Amino acid sequence: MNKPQNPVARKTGLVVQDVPEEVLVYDTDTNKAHCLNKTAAMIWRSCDGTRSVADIAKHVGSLACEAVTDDFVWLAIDQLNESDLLEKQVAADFKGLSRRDVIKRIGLGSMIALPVIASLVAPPTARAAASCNCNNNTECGPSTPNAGCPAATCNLSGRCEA
Amino acid sequence: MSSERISPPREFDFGLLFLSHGVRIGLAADNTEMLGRARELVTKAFGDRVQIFEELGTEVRHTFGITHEDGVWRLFKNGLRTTSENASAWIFFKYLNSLLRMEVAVYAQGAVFVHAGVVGWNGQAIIFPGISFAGKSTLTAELIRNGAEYYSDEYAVLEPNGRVAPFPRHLSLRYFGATREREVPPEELGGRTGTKPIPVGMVLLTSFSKGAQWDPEFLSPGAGIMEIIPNTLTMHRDPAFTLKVLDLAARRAIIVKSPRGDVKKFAKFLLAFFDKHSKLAKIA
Repeated sequence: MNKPQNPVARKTGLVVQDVPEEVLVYDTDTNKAHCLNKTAAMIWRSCDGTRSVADIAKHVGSLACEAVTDDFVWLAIDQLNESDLLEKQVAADFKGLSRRDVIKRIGLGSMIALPVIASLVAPPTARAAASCNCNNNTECGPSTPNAGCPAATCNLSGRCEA
Repeated sequence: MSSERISPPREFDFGLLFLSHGVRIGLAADNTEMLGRARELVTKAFGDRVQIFEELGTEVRHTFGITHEDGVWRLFKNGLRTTSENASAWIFFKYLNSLLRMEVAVYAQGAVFVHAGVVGWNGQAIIFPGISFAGKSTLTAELIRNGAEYYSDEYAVLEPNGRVAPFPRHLSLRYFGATREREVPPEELGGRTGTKPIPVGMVLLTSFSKGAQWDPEFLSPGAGIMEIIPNTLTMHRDPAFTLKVLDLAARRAIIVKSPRGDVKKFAKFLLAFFDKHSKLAKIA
């Protein structure tokens, strides 16, 4: 039975691709891409709404054949919150410690990799993926030295935009 | 690119349609001579990866119209005048070449386009994603001079099975501090152009930095794909297919990140490095 404080992995608006040892998640609502390492992915997939953090720690521990603490799971939950990969935010409970302190405490003793999620924003328009070395619109488009840059609009970060 | 509606949509007397990678685009002009130039442009832009039909169809993604009036070449999009115009035919058609290739890259069906240089070496592809002015064409040219096969200096075209198909054009090489550009056929560099799809052997994430030392960081497939995503034109439109194809391309490749210095030394070194570290069996 789902309890309000049990984390639930988000499913809608996400494209998920398993790659060796990692999971890529693309959020179609925000055009953000996330790369979950194996540990983060195990924890994310264990968030089914029926498991508490302690249950997830036991479950992941049995998968990894190593004891996993609640702090370890909270580290992942904290990052999943930031990446908007949970149905609802679940406030991480580090029992008064900072995330850095928790990492230090866990890091030395853990045989499995800490959960890590890397994120980036994919260009909002396809043309932003092609770039010219521009500072303003007069440097882009067909009448300029950047004649090969097919958009005539410069977003002032050196990238073409539609 | 902005469009400005200052009059009813322009109509043209002559047109053609071309189909490349599942994308239909129309080109229109006021006379047969200009349409002929447009046809040449399409052949130059897409080589043998295009079908040309001598009439405009109804189901096209966009129609680009070309006019030449008062000494100025102008571009229309779906009948509306754009801000793209130039007195120089060379600049105008070069721009249109890039624009058409980008239209196909963005809307391609059944392929994933990544902004990248690509060469073939011993039957495997080395692809180097990057934005313009990152030195892709310069590196591509130097690798060709060292015996690599030319696939593209602009887009890596990944097929559904993760292999890279050729998508060549004349290389655009910059000189005089990148203020000038000239188009160079690969044959002029002593190289040949690849003709068939090949597996990806290496993804190289690099850009030129004066005096940079080679200091490679080997990335996992996931981390490597994250680096490729900002350069992937189909990502936004079809993320599921794009990620699947990027996975297939990346999982058999070594993915390396490092700045690079002088291109002449680097090109030789890179090919030797690839031979030493490549995971795939060498394919004759």
